[in-house]
Amino acid sequence: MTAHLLPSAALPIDSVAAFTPGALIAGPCALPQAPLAMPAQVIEAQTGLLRRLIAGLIPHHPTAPSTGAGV
Amino acid sequence: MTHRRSRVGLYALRGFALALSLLAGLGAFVLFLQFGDADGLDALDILRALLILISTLWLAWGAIQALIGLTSFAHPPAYDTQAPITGRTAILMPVYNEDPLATFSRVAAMDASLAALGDPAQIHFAILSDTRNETIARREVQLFAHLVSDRHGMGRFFYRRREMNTGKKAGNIEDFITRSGGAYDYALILDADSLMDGETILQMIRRMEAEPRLGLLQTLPKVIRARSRFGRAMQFSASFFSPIFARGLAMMQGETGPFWGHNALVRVRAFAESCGLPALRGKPPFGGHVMSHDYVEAALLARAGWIVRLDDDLGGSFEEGPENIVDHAKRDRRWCQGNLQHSRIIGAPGLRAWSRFVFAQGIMAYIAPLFWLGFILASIAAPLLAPPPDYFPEPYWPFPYFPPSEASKAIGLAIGIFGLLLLPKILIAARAALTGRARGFGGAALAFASTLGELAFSSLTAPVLLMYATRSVFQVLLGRDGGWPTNNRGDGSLSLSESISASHWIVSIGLIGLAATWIFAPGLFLWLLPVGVPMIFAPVLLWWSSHPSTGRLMGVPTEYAPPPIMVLHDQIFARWTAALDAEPAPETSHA
Repeated sequence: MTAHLLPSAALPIDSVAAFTPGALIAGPCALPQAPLAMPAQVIEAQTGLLRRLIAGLIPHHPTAPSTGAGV
Repeated sequence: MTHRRSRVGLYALRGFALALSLLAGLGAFVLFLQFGDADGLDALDILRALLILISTLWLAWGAIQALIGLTSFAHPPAYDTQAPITGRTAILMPVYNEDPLATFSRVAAMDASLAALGDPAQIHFAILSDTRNETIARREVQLFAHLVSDRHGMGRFFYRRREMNTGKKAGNIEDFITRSGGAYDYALILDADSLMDGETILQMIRRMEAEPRLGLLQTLPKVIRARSRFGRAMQFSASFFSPIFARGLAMMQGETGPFWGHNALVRVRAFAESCGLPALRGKPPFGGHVMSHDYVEAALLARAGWIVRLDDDLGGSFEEGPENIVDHAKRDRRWCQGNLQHSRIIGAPGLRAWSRFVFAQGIMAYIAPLFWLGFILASIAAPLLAPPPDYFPEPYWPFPYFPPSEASKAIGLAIGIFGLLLLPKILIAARAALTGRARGFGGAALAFASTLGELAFSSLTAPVLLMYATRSVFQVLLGRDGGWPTNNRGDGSLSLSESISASHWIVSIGLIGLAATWIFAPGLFLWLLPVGVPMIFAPVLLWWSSHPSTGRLMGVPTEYAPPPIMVLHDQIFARWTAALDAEPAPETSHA
């Protein structure tokens, strides 16, 4: 867990009256800045099912290059 | 060793369920072949037998899931229910053009429910707006200020509105994780109509802290606040039947559980590492952003080695549902596209076999009506293609030969199929009466009457829903993107003219279908009346079912004794409505 101090955590509890609604969401109630990487995952096979099935049926030379992930 | 034994048990249970479903499908297949063989088998008979095989297998799979669920009771995992919570949690409420008064008052109720427990756990709320409507967006800002003020929420409540709603809800959550995810250990993902009890939230966090491999914890949300006949039938079904089906599912899924997109807690690090969803190749409906992202995220978490678990013993988790068939069909159109899109993901490298099976189930749920429709059409066409009966097959034999009637086989098949549809629900009602669970539904007699009422209601609406589902599948296959319509969470009553405009095409198909049956296959006419008549009266059905239901039939525990979180929400909603009615008009600027 990141020991992260949220920007508005130190503000007094009744300070909301000091902000207009717009200023509130742009300031103390804006989301905290604590970026976390979310790398894109591989969610589909590079080749279609039919091509993979056909590729699986055709004999390959052991030294031939791969026909793609999931084949 | 214990772990290995439990895995063997899990695979055995899955194998047993699959084998039983296959057996039911094959039984139907053989019965139909025998029926068709009475006047000689032809290609249409074999096609129909195959369609019956697939349809029965699918029905049996659902029924067996319920039967498995009936064999056990939901129970909590072993953990310390009083353990101090160390991690920080964000409760995420994505909103999209919904009424902010209703949604934000739910946030206030959940916060009040948590506050009443006095637990020092760090729990924040983030409202993640994807709202496109500027008027609603302005009202969101106003009401957010009201929420913060009302709940003394400075430092605990956050709001942001995206400029572009890229990736829809999944993109909305991803935007939060990439911007603020580092500040939190856990995120409770909600829908705009979600309502969760504070104690449930705390126990979910404790369960996640007790199991470091747990990546996602899903609850079983119950539908609440339904008012219409349709809504209350769905609410009863979700409250009375769904827990048993969910129990069966929980027993069969092992560590590869479901994610239904809301009322679920995720471990932020696991989610960030595993669930970044790229757009699929090509254009919608099959390409582009993943629509039903939740199933995919569950599969990706499982692929990365995280446990995804449905804890069906947890109560205090609620949602609202559509109030009429049209809204239900709109939502179903979106889900249909999302599930069919999974055909592109089912072959993704490294997925667990059960995850692929879950994708296949989702696809099957939407194409199953096509098999029934195909069977009906083939049955209407069959007499046209059948050779004329030959009563004198033996040359020079003076007495006619009447082929033996195999109608008993068809009747047996129909009884079997109805059995698969009815038996699980009847057994659930019987067990509820025996265990005392029916008391929450008004007593055993009323619960049984409600079960019969729900069966009658779902039999009437099934042909209409079948037509909407079929249209959705064809629209997706023809490449039409359904977009992302806002859920209508209002009163939901339909006028007769609205009902007619939403279902006139179903009436036409019903009339043409029955007329064709009368002309080409009169022997089938009576059999098809239960399908054709509801289609012809679809507008009346839509209109009638969208109107308020006031009787005790289909009553649920949350109606007889509303849980504290609902009472809290009602109080806050009433107080806010009164306070806001007295306030001046909102300011024009917004974030």
